[in-house]
Amino acid sequence: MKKLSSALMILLANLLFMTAMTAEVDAKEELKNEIRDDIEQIIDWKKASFGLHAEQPLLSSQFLNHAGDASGDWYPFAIGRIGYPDDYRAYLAVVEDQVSKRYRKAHQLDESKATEWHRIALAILAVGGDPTNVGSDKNGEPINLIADGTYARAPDKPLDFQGINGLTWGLITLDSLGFKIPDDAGLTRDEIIMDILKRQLPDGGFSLNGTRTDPDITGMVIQALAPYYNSEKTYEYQLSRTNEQVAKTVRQVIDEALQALSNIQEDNGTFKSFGFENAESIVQVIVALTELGIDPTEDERFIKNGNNLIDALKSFQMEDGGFIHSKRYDPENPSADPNKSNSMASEQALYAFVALYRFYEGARTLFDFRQEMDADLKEAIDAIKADIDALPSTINESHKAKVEQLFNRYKAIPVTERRYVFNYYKLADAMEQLNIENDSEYIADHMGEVDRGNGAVTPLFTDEFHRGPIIFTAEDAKKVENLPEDLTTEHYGEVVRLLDKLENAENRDEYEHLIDHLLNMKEKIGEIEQEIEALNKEIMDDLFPFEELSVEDRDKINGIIERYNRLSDYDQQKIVNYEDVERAKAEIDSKARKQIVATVLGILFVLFTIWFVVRRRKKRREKEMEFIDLED
Amino acid sequence: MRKDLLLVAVIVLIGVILFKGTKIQSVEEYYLTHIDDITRESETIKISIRVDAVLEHLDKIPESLRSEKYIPKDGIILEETEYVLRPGDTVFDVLLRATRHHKIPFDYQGSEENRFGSVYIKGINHLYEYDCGPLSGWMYTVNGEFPDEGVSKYKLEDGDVIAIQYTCDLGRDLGHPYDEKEVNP
Repeated sequence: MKKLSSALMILLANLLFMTAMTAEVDAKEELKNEIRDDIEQIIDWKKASFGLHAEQPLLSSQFLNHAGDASGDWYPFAIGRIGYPDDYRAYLAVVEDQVSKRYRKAHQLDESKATEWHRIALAILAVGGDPTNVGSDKNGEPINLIADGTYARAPDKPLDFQGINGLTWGLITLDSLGFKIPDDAGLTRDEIIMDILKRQLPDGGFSLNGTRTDPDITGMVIQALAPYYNSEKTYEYQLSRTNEQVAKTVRQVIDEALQALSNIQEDNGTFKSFGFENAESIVQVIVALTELGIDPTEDERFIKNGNNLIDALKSFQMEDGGFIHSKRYDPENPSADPNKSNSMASEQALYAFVALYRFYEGARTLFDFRQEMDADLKEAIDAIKADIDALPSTINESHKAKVEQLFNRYKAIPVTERRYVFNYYKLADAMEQLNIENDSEYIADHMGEVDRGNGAVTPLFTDEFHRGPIIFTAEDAKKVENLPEDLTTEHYGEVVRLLDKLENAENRDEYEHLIDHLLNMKEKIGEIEQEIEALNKEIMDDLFPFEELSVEDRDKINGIIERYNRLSDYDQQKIVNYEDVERAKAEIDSKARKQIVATVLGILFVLFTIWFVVRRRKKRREKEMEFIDLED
Repeated sequence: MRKDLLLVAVIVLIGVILFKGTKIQSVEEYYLTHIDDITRESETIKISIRVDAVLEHLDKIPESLRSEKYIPKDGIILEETEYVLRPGDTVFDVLLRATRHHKIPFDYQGSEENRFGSVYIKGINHLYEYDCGPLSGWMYTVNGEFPDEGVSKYKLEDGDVIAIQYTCDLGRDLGHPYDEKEVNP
């Protein structure tokens, strides 16, 4: 009886355990489904804001005209990282053309902002492109955004020219695919890491310039340093704030930064940046945690009053699917409407959800663009993680063999993949307690693996995602025909997209005749862009100050007006303050009229005066004659 | 005799018109050419552009900018100038008008190109953000306060005084009331 009952007990316990397990798995599945829905809602909102239906690709028409802008690169980045079905080729074609165009101009990208290069490079990787081989510069050479954006920058515009963001995003960009830094570049990963570490604040976090932890900046620093969390290298440096000399590993600094973030998290799970609770701060912390393999729904440090970061982020979502920046309403500035979804908050929320989805799928982290791991490696890592978790909380000599064996298994994992043994720190702690020498390689020495390479769209969102051969369809041909005779810059993205598709299509021969047509269109649009630029410059050079305009400027102004009138309505909007031209014209016209009227009046004045004098003389003579007559 | 008097009157009249000015304008022309004239009824604002903060950090800015042309010794790019406030004017509208009228190069990012939905000042008179270190750039105050909104979102009112200033330290060198409490209460 006793035996039976204990057997029953075990069976029951097992059953309970199994149900608990499945319940947990179900909960995770449910969470993933929710995240999927959120991702879809944000994309649909964004499409709607461009007048697109849910079935149309986001990366089309109007949206493509923003490729290469801060407003146009994070969406393709986010949706590419989850493989939402869209027109990635189109974005890649337009952004490459944009980058080429800007490189041919004097200013290239915004020279002082290294993050311009980083943002575009990451977006290109996410849609499957190669950021080291983008379009062509003015010498016809391919553009290397990785080099130009990190180690080959102009000497007077170094990576940290714009502050800590240049460093963190530069490191993220270099590590995205494990790009090598040439030996003669005068910059190493260790230097970048140390330059970031130096900026740590006394409270453990990081900020742009303040003396206390800013959640966004601290989150980004953790994202950048995450690949080095398991490195045993100790960095010796002087803190820039206090001049204190310290020696720390990246892990120590990240742990302090995480604690600092936990300390400033609000009771409702949100964060404040510059004094206000906002969506973007939560996003940066969520992404930081996923880069470290920390589940934000489980880590007690980031759950406040039962509110976790995902709950907190969702509290910023609107009915339309988009996100707001902040919930505060400022009566003095009704235009910052807290009830209206905002593009920046929404795109960041989108990539936080993508990071979470990747995390729960067991895919690489958001900023790790390397090919997904093969199943064997994944299995080996999962097994090590499980065994590390199974280590008892108090370690003694009897565990030495087990710990040594685990460490050997850890070292068998390639150096750059060791970051995915997320709980390695427990193993390292156990080794320290047992005085086992930790001779694992320093990770920074191994991060540079490739000189160039393509990213890839990660097909997580749908199974239907496949990259077949490119076919230029009859529908595409119709789209070409439907482009208006009078092109405007509005059609830029569409023309570049169609041209790229046709040039690379398997059935290119079928529509060969359209290639020249599209090339002409692209050239025409380029000419219009130049004309807009030239007009803006001439207006600025010739019009001001208005008081000095003279009648001689008339032809010039009329010329500008004529050229302006030749532009389409859409392009006319790109002429800055056209009102100034109208005003100049009015000034000149009234000056000219004044001259004419003055001349006419002057002539009249003279004529009347002559007539008057003549008349008087005549009268006098008549009088004299009369007088003579009388005398006679 | 009467005819003579009439004639003299006509001549005098023409003379007077000639002398006093001969502007004959349509309503639109009058509106355009006088839109910025300040009369007793006009609502006005004042705007100035200054780079005083840079004067103390001349060593930090690129050598190409270290000249009187870009950084005047008195720090004044545009001294306080009064402008007519047009209906709906934002700080950006007035800044654009002032820089154009004075031919001061002004480079900005359009509100559609960034994520803030507001125009962003990149450079004025060839001086750009980050030229004086990582915390440098253009800021503005209205009546001495630092608004939270971008320049093209801030609607102006009669009598407002705008100062467009370059900072080398995220506003602290301009007296930005930016204390720790506000950042993380």
